[in-house]
Amino acid sequence: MKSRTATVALMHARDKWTWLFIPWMVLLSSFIVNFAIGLIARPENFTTGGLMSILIYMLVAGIVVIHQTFSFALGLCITRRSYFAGTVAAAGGYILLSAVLLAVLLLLEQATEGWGVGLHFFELPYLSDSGAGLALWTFFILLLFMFFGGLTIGSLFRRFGKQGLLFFFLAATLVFGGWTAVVTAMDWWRGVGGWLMKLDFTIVQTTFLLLACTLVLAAVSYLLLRRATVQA
Amino acid sequence: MHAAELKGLTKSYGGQHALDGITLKMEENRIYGLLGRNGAGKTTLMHVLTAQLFATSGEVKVFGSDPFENEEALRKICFIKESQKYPENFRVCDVLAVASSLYPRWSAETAEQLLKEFRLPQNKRVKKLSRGMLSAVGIIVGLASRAELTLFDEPYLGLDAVAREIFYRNLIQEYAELPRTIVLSSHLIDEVSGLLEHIYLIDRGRLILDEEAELLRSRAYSVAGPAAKVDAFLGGRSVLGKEQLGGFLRASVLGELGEGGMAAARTAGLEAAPLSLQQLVVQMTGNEAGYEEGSA
Repeated sequence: MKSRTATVALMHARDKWTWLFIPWMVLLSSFIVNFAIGLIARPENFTTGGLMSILIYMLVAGIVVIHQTFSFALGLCITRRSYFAGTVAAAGGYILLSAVLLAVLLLLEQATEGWGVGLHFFELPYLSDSGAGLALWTFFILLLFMFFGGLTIGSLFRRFGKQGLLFFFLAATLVFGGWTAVVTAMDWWRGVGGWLMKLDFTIVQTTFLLLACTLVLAAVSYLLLRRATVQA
Repeated sequence: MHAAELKGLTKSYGGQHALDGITLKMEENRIYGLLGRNGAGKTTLMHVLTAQLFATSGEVKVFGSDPFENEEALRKICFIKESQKYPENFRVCDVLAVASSLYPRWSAETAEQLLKEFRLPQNKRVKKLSRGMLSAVGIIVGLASRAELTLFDEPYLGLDAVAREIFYRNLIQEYAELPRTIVLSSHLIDEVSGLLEHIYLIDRGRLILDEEAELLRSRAYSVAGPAAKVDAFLGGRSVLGKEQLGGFLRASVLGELGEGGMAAARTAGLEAAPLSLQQLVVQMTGNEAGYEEGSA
């Protein structure tokens, strides 16, 4: 008799398409296109935004996973706590696997001087020569952050429905838009820029900042799910 | 300890009561029928019982404790519903694998047996199954789970008569082998009435009947015959409903007919018979005003 959290994790793990095949198909197809460009056009040392595809995919996976499995799990009388813990465990595992694959590919890319065509596909800005360990960590945190971002949106939808989500984005747009308007009107951009420059985060510091944000998102998402219901 | 206990359970949506002050106690190891029309609140009640929905007020207990986030209690419940959603890429065997690891008393044998009887292809994606096959998946999970409290909410949508027979037969067999509390919500009342030991009837969110199935047999009857004679016979009795066809009248009457009543009906040249469960439910929930105890 397994713990129910483990059952939830294994339930997700059964879905290799969502977690492994599709994101990597998306990423590798982007890679192939860029590699072809490298072969044909022969630009010198070019970087692509291809890595974004897997990050965006993780955001989508976070949104979709709740829609796909929450009612199923609760229908089988799994607690929201076990559901959340199992989902995080499964996603964390697959994300770690993806981060390792990305780091290995980055090493290969560096060893082959950009796959022989000067293509910098797996390279993150400011991370070109900081070693595989930091690259692995950064990939992991970035993917995790995107996933929990999606999970929070998915939980918001599950908890408050379409209107709730709409309202949230409307409110967010208003707050952010209002802030930008104020800063522009008062001509504060220079000050804001100066403040950001002064902070001068290193990559490692930035990853920990992201990690903190991720934890907050995780907490929010859990609290939302705890009050979420299954109607039909 | 009771398998389930509800006290003054109310669930409302913006002032509308989906469930209105429901109080009931389900004993362990019995088969309950949860009857009522569409929208009466049966599904809502089961969702509250499994903590998928929250009660607006009132108390819910499953095996003695609140089911919300209560793994101990929820482990003992299996809820099969017509509207159950499954993950996009899941095959039948994935569903069974997940369910089997959730329920401590899961019977692989029962699952295997039912897969064969329903002729369900194990490797087919659940999304691609026909309505009937989808219902079969739920039934297999429900019976093989052997959960202490098993809830079936309209479990046979799209199943043909043969498949429904398979369900009923296996339900009885499973119940005999390993008694458990079973709640069956159904529209096909005549089909299941033989299985049910206790009846709950819900109408517009209110529990209007809570009675042993045995006792219900003597709770209402019908009399039929020439209209004038039937009317004479009905004087002072609590009439549930009347159907007239020319000079012929059939009336459903609440109350015990008894030996005396039976004899009186016979001497008046009337036919009297106990009301079937289905007829009783139709009479009690069919009218627009809703059923009121004692109304004639």
